[in-house]
Amino acid sequence: MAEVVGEVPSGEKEFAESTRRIRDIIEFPEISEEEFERMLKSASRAYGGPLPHRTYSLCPETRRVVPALIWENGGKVWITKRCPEGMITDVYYESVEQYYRFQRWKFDFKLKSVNVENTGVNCPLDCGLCARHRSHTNLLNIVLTNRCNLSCWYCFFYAKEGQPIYEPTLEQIRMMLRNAKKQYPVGANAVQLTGGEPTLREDLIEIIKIAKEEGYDHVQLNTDGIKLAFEPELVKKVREAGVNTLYMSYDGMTPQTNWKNHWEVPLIFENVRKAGGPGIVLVPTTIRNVNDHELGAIINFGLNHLDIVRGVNFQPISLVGRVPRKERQRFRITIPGAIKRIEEQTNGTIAMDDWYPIPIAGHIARFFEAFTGSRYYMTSHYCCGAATYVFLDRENKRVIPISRFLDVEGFVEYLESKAEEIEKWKKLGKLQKLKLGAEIFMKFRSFYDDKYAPKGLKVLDLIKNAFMHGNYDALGKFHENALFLGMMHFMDEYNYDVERVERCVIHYAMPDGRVVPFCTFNVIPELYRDKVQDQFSYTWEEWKALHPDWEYRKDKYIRTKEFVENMKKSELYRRTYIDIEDYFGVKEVRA
Amino acid sequence: MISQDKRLTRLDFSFGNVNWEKGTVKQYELERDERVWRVFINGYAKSGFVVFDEEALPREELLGKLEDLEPKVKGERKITVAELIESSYSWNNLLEKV
Repeated sequence: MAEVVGEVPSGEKEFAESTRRIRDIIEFPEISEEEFERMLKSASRAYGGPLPHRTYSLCPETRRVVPALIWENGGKVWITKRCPEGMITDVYYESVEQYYRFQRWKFDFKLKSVNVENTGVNCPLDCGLCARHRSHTNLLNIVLTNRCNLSCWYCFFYAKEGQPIYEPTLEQIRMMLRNAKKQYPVGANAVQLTGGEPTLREDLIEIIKIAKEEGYDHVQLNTDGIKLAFEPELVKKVREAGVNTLYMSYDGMTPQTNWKNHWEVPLIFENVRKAGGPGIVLVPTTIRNVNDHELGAIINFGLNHLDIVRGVNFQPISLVGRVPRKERQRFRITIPGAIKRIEEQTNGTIAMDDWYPIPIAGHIARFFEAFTGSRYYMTSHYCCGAATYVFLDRENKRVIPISRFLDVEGFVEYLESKAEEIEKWKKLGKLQKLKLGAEIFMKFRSFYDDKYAPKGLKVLDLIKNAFMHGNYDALGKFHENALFLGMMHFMDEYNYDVERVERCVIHYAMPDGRVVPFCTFNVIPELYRDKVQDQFSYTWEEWKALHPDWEYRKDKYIRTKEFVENMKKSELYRRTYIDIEDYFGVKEVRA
Repeated sequence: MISQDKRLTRLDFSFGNVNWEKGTVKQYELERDERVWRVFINGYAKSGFVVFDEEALPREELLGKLEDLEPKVKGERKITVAELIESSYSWNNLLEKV
């Protein structure tokens, strides 16, 4: 289709075009009310129990908290609930095998500070955080504004003309940061500044500095990158102020699948290169029948820009709002579904078994707490996310997932046994620590196979320095050749699982002192996001009085035909998208 | 923008006719209302509280909404928005001693 130019990008026409021909529909299994009741009675109840498993969910219509069943059928995992208006089924996880493999690594963490008196018996209506929550804040989101330079057709959040403007003050932002930092026994250490479009705030640099002052090591900016494409100085200032990561929307390889910033990405990359950072994480919202055929190509793209791209974090779509069954069958994709497509589209280079569930990090954290005293637990529910690292062997132009040369699960099991050992000792002396470090390094060799490791990457030196000398300098080298791949599946009303939200690690700070899991903040906006932001918003008139020179239209980005034509012809565009390596042999296969 | 000095009312309740299901349904209904700042209805303990803006939501209207749960007011106090926020901070709500 022809590029949509001369207007504020909204994606509406591109989406309509993408979905004209539907290739792939998920057939939902039928389950009778009697069968549902029977299975519910005998279902496991404890967290991590076998399927069928009983949990609680939300009714999309009435918002009642209703019993739900997670069950297996045809090699997939389904969620079914009985709502006042009938039975609702959706796909929960597209591989039973991966469900059980990931379940093995479940990990719970008990938070011992709260922000509300509510006990959590009415979860997810009691947020938060309440005494029932089982994870500290791994990543704190702070919405800096609901102003946006785009007008995405599906977004209910950004301020339309005449609507209230939500923009917390610097003092409110500082207190939100401090509130999460002071969680006990482990405070937040990573913050994401989000929106709307956070780069629209004129005091963004000051906000980044406040996050650093409040002790956050990791500051990431969730952006569409448009302003960063046209303001190279802003990129430099953002990096110098302390942003480590640009968490940037990147939905596909073509102007149609990535209508948000396809044409601007070459400029963004160039500005980041000139500024020497921050690192970029590409964030494709992954939708069945829309962009799920481009996942391998997106990874290949990331590998071609490894000097600035640190990772790709796929987000299978969350179908928030009322979505008919037919639409869910067309667009729903889950973590195993996306991973399977990556396996297919990388010709088996990155396979299903190369991925790990997020809570495996909890087991590693347990060891590091015992060994070094540092506390940072990334736990989550085992169905919320998956991750891996792939390495680029530049000499041989090969991509190697970490699992091909390191028995990750074996090594983590070993670390856990060591953690148990250390926990029995009362104190870990210096000499004892050195001895243990040497023992772990020697043992590590049995989990590591140099033959398959990427050439030029000294993994053994890295491990030796980390465990024996507490020196992580070699990590820089590690990042230059490694690409983080992640999956984070946020829930919606249809696949909502209270057991997942209780273990959520990605939270939003609210100006009223509460800290709310991502999947209540956005899935029940009438109680959290929209309600509280309305309470703390400026009316349109108040905002205009405070900012007499501000105009709504000036916030908006209009992509001109001239810009697109110039970009198409540019050397920069060629270097970014066309003259790149094909690490997965995709072109050859197609030819 | 809301004033930090705005005064809210907190009412503590016991309920004569409540269970978990009725409690969650009522809590959701009240929580949706922008005039209600905090609410918790514990269907098991048959107790709860509502923090609300009495200038915007008359007490009679709130009690009317709760009527089917047979509420009894057990306590009442005024609290400012700033105090409510302060009372929510992590350092004021430790479940065990540091």
